[in-house]
Amino acid sequence: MNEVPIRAEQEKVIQEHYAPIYRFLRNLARRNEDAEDLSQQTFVRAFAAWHRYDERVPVRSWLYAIAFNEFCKLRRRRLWLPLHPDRPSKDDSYSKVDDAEALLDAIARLGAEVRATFLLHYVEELSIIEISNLMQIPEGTVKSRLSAARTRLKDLIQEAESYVPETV
Amino acid sequence: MSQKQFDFDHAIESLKAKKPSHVPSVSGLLAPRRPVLRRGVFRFAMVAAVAFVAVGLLWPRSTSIVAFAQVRDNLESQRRVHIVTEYKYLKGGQTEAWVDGDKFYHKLQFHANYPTFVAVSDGEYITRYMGGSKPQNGTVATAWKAKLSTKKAERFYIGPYGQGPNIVDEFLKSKSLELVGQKLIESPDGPVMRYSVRWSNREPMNVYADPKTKLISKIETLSNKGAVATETRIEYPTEIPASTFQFSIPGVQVRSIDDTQALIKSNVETGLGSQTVAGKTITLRAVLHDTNGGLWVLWTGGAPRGDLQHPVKIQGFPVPRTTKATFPGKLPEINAFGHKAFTVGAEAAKVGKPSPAIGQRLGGMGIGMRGRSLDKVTLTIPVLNSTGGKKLGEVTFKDVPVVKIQMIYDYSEILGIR
Repeated sequence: MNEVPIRAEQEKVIQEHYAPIYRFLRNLARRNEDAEDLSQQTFVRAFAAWHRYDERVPVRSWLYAIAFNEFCKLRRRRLWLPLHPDRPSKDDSYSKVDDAEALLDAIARLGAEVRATFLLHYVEELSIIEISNLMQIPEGTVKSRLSAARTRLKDLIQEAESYVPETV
Repeated sequence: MSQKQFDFDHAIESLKAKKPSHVPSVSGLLAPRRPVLRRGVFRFAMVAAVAFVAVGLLWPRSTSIVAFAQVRDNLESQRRVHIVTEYKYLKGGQTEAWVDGDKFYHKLQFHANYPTFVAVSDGEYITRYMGGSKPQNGTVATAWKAKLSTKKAERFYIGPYGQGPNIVDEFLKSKSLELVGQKLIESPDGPVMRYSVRWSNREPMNVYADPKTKLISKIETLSNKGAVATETRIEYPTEIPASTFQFSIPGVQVRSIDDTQALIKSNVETGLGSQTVAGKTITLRAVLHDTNGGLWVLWTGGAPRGDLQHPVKIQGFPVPRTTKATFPGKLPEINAFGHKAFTVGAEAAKVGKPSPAIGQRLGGMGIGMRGRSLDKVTLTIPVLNSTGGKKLGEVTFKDVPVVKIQMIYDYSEILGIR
């Protein structure tokens, strides 16, 4: 059984994995404050449950699983609704921001499990097998979710592109 | 207007580039991030005052310009409001709230056919309905009703943020509001004051108020393209019919949390049966099936260890898999999961406490039984040593009646969850 990691190991885990976990949660939750809260909760829970960690599983897969569970809890508490996502950073070029935000708007309209599957594969670059293990679903289900996501996103983005902003 | 071709790969690369503002140290990660948000019954006027104090004000340039402070003061004093928010980017997405002092009705709706969340209070009782997904414990669509007796009860019955998501609450809770402009404009309904308010890192919000009544009539939040993302209309009725605050959704049964609590308390007090093995007496205290499908089996006489390596067994079903990660492998048909309050782990005392009904802590676990309607179960409970790790034997309780609940946290007090 794993002992609770010592401080140096904890620092190493955070340095290696905090940024991608934050990115995943930020893309899921759409708000910086929520992503930071969820990231903190993810690592606190991970360190507390270290004795249950199975070393046959990559640490990052395990952390993504915890992160997604934390997001689902938040969603259940909040009856999740993206009331108003944070606007993009000023550092991003306009064209990148435009497409990324359009994609995130569309992703937000997918179910949480499909959304997470899509982000884990295309953004976090996890394999089908990794996603299957961490979400505890068959590989076929992962593939069908990705296919459904691509089809739905294409429709949503095309729909959004034809939306004309209202004039004030 | 020509349309730029959407670049999927470009968009994905942008999403990959998102980074946190900083990577915390271990001590920073373990420090509390921010104060717990105030919870409790929705008080529209109170939350208005909290946020508006932080706003930088522009003094009126003429008598026809109404200062933001005046609008805020009027809002604070209102007792009756009707708020409707439409989410332009979610077809049919809407929230609606009626408030009359201590009475309220709040509805969240994503789907055309049924509401997602409804909470109604007549000032004495609150009824809460969570729709949108089929209950996994065999119940029909159910709303849960409870007497508004304590603030703690209100928190669990209503939800962490009062009534649930409400654009006005979110706006008013923001700690970084900045008034960036105000103007008297013409509208089809006559002159209207328009305030541009910036909050956090968001696009400015437009707040509209009637210059005669000095009451806010509309709040718009904008997307990064400048389009209206949400539109909230606020009305101030002189009277709201009492029927507004009576819960009524066709096909939804209303069950009493108070009655269920009394039943659970009685079961915990008297027990559902006792058996002795290896010198240890196990008394079954609660068998609860929540709407998420979790079957909670709680007893006194020997709590399990946190890894649940000796799960409760339900007759007619496979032995539950525990939550220990064991990849790869076949997915468990049913699984055991826990709550620290019901184990012997080091943190159990932080999250659990003795049940006031019996002066002892309950031990036990949840078993994932989604999609099954269980009226009675025959279950086998492991008899464990004092550390919860060694199994000394097991006891079986036959045909135990199952109590259906919405969520276990509605009964935290009686079950001993902090």
